[in-house]
Amino acid sequence: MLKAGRVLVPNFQNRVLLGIATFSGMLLLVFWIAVNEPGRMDVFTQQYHGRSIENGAATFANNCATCHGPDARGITGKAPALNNPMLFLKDNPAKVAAAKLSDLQNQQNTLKSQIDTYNKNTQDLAAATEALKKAAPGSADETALKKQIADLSNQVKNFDLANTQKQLDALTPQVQAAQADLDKLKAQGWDPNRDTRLAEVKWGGRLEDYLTSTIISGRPVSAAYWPQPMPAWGQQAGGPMRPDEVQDVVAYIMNFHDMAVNLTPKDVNQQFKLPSEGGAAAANKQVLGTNADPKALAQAGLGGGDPAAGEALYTSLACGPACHLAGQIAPATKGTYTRIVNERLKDPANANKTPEEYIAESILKPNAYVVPGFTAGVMPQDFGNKIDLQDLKNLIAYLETQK
Amino acid sequence: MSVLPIPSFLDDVKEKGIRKATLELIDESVERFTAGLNIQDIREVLRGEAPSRRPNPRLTPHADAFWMHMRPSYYHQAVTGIYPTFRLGWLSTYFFVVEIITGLFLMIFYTPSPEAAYQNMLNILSNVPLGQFVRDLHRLGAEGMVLAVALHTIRTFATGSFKKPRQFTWFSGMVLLLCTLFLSFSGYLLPWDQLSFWAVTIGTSMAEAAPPEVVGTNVNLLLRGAPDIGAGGLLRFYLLHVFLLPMLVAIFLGVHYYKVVLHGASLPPQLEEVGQDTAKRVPMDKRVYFTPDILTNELTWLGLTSFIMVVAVIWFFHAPLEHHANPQVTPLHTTAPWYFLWLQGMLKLGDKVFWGLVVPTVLLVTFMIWPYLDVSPSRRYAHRRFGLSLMLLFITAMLFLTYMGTPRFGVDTAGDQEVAQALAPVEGVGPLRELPFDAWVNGTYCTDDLTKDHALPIVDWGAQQPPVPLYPDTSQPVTCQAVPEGRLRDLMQTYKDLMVRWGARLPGAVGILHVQDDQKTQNSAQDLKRIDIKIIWYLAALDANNQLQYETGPDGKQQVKLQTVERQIDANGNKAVAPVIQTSGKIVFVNRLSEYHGGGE
Repeated sequence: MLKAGRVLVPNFQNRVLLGIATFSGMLLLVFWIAVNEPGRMDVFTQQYHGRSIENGAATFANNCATCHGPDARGITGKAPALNNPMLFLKDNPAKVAAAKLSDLQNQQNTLKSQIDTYNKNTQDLAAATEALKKAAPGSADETALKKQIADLSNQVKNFDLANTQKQLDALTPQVQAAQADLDKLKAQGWDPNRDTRLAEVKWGGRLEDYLTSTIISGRPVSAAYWPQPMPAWGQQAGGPMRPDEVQDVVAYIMNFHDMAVNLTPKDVNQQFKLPSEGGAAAANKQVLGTNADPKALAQAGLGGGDPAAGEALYTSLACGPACHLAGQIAPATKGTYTRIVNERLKDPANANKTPEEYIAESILKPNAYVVPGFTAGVMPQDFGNKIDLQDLKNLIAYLETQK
Repeated sequence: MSVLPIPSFLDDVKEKGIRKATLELIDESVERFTAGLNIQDIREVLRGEAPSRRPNPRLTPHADAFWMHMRPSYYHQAVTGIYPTFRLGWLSTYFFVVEIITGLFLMIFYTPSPEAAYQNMLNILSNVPLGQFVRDLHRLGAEGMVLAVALHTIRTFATGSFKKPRQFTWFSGMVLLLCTLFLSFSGYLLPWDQLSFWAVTIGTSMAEAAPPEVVGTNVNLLLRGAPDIGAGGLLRFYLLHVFLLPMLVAIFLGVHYYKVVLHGASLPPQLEEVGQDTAKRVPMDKRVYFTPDILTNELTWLGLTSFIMVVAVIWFFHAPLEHHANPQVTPLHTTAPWYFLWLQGMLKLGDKVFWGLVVPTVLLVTFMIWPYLDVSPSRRYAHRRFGLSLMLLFITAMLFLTYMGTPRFGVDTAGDQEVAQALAPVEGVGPLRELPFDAWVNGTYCTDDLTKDHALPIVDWGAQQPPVPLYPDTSQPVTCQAVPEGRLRDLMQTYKDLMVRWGARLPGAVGILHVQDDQKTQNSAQDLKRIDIKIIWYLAALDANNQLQYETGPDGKQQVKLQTVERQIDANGNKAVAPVIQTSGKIVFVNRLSEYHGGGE
């Protein structure tokens, strides 16, 4: 054995063993860490998400709560709620319920129409049979009557009245239930004519991205419909918040999801607005009101509107997407003016009306005349409270282009 | 005859047979690889036997091999133990190598830009396998390197190993000490969190103070790239940290170690004749050869130190990461890194130019040229009482100055802020955030009585609500609830103790903790609680020297004199002259997912 001096471990073999043991121990520990790494990283990610929510909550309390409320339920007339079902839900339940009711009512109408047709056919058959008795044998009338009787008999024979009546009877409680659901949702503040926020603003991306872009850029044009516009908060847009701070606020808002989806619109203090609803501008708007007289307005003159502005207003009021899309719930937008001129104004109920008066009446007093095949009470009755005279002229100008 | 036009392995096979030729080839390869030791030599080394060949093949690598030529072929027995070197030079080099390896790993995932740096840190910790492990090793290695180099310097001074002929070794070592400190300092900024940003802001502001102003301004601009630390500063610090300073260390380490080997490791002072440098002339019976003893010794040290490092970062040490750097918000009690606390302490003594620049420069220059000042030949402790006393005095002064650099010394912060900071520090955990999430019970709790429901003794009638209101609203009567037994009661007791400790200038102060739900989630997985820390007290009347004034109270005892003003004193709006009431506090949010409460406790 060599003389080793006062080294760490004098004995050579022991020294080698100690070295091997410590290296092996170190490698084992590193291996153990490596095996546990995926779990540790997941935990870190979760923990950091928690801290991000905390930071976002603090930032929100110091910056956003003065407008959006300390509980993020909005402040009336100031800024909308973010702890808000309209923000987080994919679909407006009232809109879904209204669509379901409308669908059931359409089915009801179809079945009623079929029964009416059957009844008419039965009467026509009886009349034709009587007429055949009186017709001269071999005459053209006899031939035509025989043909008519054959057709009508066929139709009457092939129509399953009992089954159709049974289907109609089965629909009645469903329609009642759907109506009750819709009424209940309306009582909770749900507006069937409104989309949820992302659909309303036609945002095709994720909610997080919508929130991020809103916080960064603000809403510079919102002065038109809020007392104060939302300023830009992101440093990228000249605001004070770093990107990570914006992400923290987004994380905090997103954490409202589970609370928000269980709320109703009545639980929040202020809903989102669209530019057309106005705010500061709306305060100065001379709305027509629900008692406006379409005839008087037409006599005073409803021409001179701007079709482009009318189209924008038509869209912002969600007339097209909500109802007048494909003629299912309400008459389709396409071909409106043609149908008004060629069909509606020929209905005795619309005698002596001009197209402008007809359109104005349709908007301001929807139940005054309901196009056959559609149901009364579906179109909102309060558009008069949302539009002024110029808006009406613009809408008329736009609809007159739909030929 | 070979099949090839040149001599080859095939010739040997033909001549000696394949087995013998193969063994000889392997043996020759081993001898080439080890620069002199063949298989038999290695076997003898591992068995602890004396070399069978002459000249000693174990000395050949020291002449022929690149790495081994830098190492001595033998050491004096007296320097192979823990004393006198304590292996500190070796340890310093070890830490440097650890920093290089871990630093290279971290460089892959890091971008030196304020927009990306902090996110990169989060990515390393959450998305890179072994990322936290390597980062912790890097941080621990940095702290260890500073400590090892500092201790190595102290040891070298203590044993007089700077004396002739080792003056330049000492000088190059001082350069290495400086480089080590700046390596650690430059790396401190890179995470771009509040700790980094403000620590480096404090450090670099001393450069700005250098007189004359034109020098200070330009040195500051050179370091930071701009008047304030930002993208330019981060990039410059990064380049310093990964390129310039490591290069300087590598160069000076080469010079330093060359000189160490050239002159030999200095012996313990008592073993040398005074004035004789006998380190190079090692008697045969005192020689301990590098192979196998020093080599195995160093490998064992390597294994042991690495094992300790790994154990440390698994269970005892994690590199901190505070909030994102925010130039608008200076955290309370921000400090320089611990090895610069002495400098921060010096700044509290007086003029920042004198104490922050002149004194440290004088000290540095004195240390660097010390071997040329202390030219006495003896290294014996008994002959160097003055020098050793100076060393002890210096160490004591450094320790005291380091304490002075801490926030506890000489920093006057309002008591209410100290309480809130101690309870829920802006950076770090603190007792409030350590509470398990399920221990939080909604309610309003007050430090004046933890055990029963009672009315808060102070009502700040008619007080205006601030833009960001704190709960509860103390402009109305508040009912404080009994604190539930358990961890929450312990926390409130801590709160109460802090009020006692810091409340000397807060007469009648009551600490309030208001707990409420902020967000509820499915299965409570991500619930968020809002906790308002609010302190309410009467404002003391201070004299011209900012000291408390006292007066005799109705009970005849001395009490703190209070400031008074005419204010509302009841719910009916009646006014009278009454003590001024102050409130302050902060809002803390606690999410179930976050780490503070130990997650899942």
